[in-house]
Amino acid sequence: MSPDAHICPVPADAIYGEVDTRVAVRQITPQIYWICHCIGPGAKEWNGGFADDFARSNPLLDPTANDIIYSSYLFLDEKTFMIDTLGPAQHHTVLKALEDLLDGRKLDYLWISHTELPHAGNTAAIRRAHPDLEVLTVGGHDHYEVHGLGDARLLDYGDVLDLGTHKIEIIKPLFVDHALTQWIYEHHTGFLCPVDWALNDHNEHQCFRFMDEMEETGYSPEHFKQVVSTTNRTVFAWLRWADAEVVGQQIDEFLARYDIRIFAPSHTNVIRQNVPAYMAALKEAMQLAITGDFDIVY
Amino acid sequence: MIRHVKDDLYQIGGSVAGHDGWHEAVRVYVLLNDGCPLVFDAGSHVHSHDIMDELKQLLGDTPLGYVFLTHTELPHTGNLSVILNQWPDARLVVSSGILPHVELPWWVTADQVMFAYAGTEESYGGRHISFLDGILKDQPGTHWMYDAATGTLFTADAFGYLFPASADAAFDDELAEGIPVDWIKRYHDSAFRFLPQVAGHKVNADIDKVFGKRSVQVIAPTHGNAMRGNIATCTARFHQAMLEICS
Ligand SMILES: [Fe+2]
Ligand SMILES: [Fe+2]
Ligand SMILES: [Fe+2]
Repeated sequence: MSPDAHICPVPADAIYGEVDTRVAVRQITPQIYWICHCIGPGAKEWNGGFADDFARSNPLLDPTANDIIYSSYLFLDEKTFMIDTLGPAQHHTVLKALEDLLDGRKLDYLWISHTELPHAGNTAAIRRAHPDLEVLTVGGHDHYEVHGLGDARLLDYGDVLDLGTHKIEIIKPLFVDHALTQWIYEHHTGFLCPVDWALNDHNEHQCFRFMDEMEETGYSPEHFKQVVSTTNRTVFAWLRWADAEVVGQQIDEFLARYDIRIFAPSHTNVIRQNVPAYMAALKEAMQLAITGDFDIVY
Repeated sequence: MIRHVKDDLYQIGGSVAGHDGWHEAVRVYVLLNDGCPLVFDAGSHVHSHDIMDELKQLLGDTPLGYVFLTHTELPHTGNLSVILNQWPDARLVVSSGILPHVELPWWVTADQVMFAYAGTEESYGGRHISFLDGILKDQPGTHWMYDAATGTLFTADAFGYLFPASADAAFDDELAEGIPVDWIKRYHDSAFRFLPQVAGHKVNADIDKVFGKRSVQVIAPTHGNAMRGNIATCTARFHQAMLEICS
């Protein structure tokens, strides 16, 4: 069977669990799957109702968008490769989704983008289910045992994992919070996982949608820009000490270097169409984030 | 090792050795608080055994009242289950900026968790603890805390430093030259990878705002030992480290 003829092994709209355990699977390409968690109805209560605050500080934002997506990705190539694990509350559902997607195959690699719980919290559980698994993470540091990654294989920028058709390159992140953070770029599909960068919220009619499907609910690059300018002040609070012009140049250089055709962060609806317009919006969003009010309590 | 810092403040927890001989501390701080002890961060799972021994020695028969988390990464929460198994009635105090269902272990129940809001002060077993944003941090839901009774500022990852084995558990006033800029630099350089993208004087101005608002007598970093001898020297060296790392 040619790789592109791969049949999605789970129903197109598979959803496992509910509320805090809820996990969905979406097919991005014949061999790349998006395994994602969000709360759905009830997000306002579970997530502390941040959308009202956001809409007060920026009236262009949706006051009902109280949900955030948490994403893992799975490559089913000659080798199988998973990005991040979702959080502890989703450990049963993410394992079930993974089992259904793998359909009897074993998981070869689990790559941890950074060690926070929503990204790495199920590492041990996935390892138990796949004892031959190789856990991969960020090289160039020390003291891995306190992060629970004592026996992980360490990768450096420029390292390439050959999965068969897909070549996963470890790249230097442009925006980090946790020091043990890397991004990845896949050359065959133009898939970029920039981990915590971007981050858009969504309302209960927009769960598990690709960005082009968000547009069916009235979403646009302009909405994305407004949201990201607000959320990234929280995600990367250090931006208040950065220079908007310099960051703009860094983003330009990054976008010139990588031909991004699938933009797949950890907390953003996956962008698979109209990527240049969303990247232009993202650059402006970061510059707006830097020049806005961070509202820090000293 | 149990170290008495000041008044009823103690430092426990371990450190880990790096390949190049530089050690990183993973500390836990304890305020005995006359019958309702408070613990700041839960420590690492790799130090569970020692932390529990030390906590039991310090607390005796007094049950632990509250565990305050600066943030939820594993080096700060790895030992949480062991602590809460030992003292099941202890409450967990976390920043209002975190989402428990994704950022806390799944077995933590909603009624165990209390949220703390930056800009507020609350009483825990009669002790007034106030909360502020994490000024220099590596995770969004990080807050700093202040205990006015001892003048202790709990700074999470910030103000950490790497040290040679000979300086393990030594306070700044027990080192002939205090804590060198180089040690502070080594830690912040590796823990906060964004610093080369920011202006050092802006970081320092924010730090100054925090110290200008309260009379800090002890700085309690998770990844260093308490700074209690000469706060002015410690903050000046921190400033110098920022200027050297940042753009
Ligand atoms: Fe994240
Ligand atoms: Fe941290
Ligand atoms: Fe830390």
